[in-house]
Amino acid sequence: MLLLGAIQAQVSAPVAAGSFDLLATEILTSSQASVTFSSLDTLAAGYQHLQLRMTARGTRNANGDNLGIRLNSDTGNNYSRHALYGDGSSAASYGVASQAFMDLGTLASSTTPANAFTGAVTDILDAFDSTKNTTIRSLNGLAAAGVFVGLASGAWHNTNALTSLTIYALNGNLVQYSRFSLYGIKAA
Amino acid sequence: MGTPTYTPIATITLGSTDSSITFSSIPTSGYRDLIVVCNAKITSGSGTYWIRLNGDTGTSYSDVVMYGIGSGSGTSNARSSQTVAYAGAIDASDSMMIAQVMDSGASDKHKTILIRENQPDSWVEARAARWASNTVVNSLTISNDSGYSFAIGSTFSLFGIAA
Repeated sequence: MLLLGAIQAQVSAPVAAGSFDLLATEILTSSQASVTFSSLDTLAAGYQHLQLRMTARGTRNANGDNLGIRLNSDTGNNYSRHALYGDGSSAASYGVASQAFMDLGTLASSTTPANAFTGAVTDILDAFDSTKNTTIRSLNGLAAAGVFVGLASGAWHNTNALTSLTIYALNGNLVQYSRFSLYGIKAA
Repeated sequence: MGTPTYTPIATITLGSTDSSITFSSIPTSGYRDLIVVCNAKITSGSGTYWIRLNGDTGTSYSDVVMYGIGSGSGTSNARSSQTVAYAGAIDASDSMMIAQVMDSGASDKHKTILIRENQPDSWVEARAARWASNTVVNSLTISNDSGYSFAIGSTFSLFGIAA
């Protein structure tokens, strides 16, 4: 739609090859406990950072559940996480260390209105750098019963390069139509 | 090797003031998410950006915000059953708003919109909104509730993300 007095540029061709590339997508066809992107050393070869884009819902019989992430199958208390969030009535924050997962946000669950899914965009910085711990940040939210919007951060206290990441619901399963897409971002 | 994405679809730069802008005929295949990047201000006063999808003027929108204004604690409030999704405060100073419409190209869920909006002189905020429709997004309108138009030079860029 052209606007009177506006300058509009239409670009229909893809951008020049690959600084922000789609690596893999999983869309659930039925409920399952978790989603894992593995063999990242191959799948994400040549990329410096990763981004996860998700829409997810869980089976917990409540208005919410935790959407968590673990790296390289590490289930030990090797993570720290913080969040700043708003629940529609107040803004609050928390921070915890020595945890078994990092937080990606509050997961829409069985009592959330039907067809409402949590959205989350998570950046994983320097995923393959073996000189530093891996850090993540997430913008996440859901405007439905149990509303929230959050900014989360996490650290995996391990300098190993990423080989896998696993996303899961802490107290149930992930439902059909939940979508998880992994993108790679190249350095200059 | 991945598939390049984050594709520019359209950019609008205002050569004259306008009360709203609309990206119409958005491709409904090939993109899973849409991102709109706005660097804009209004001609006077203050108000709130809003977004409407597919021209839906029904009470189909909900939103929740968390914001800080540089003093005191942060604040959060929420709305439901509205005719637009609020997308951030705006006034006559330059501000930036980035809205990500998640699963805009899917027909199996409502559309969650994740928003970051900043007006460096005044506030910083994060929002989530929901359009309670499973319909694939084919148009996106941005306006504001101040009664004033977007100023000359305001820019609005739409990008598509494949999945």
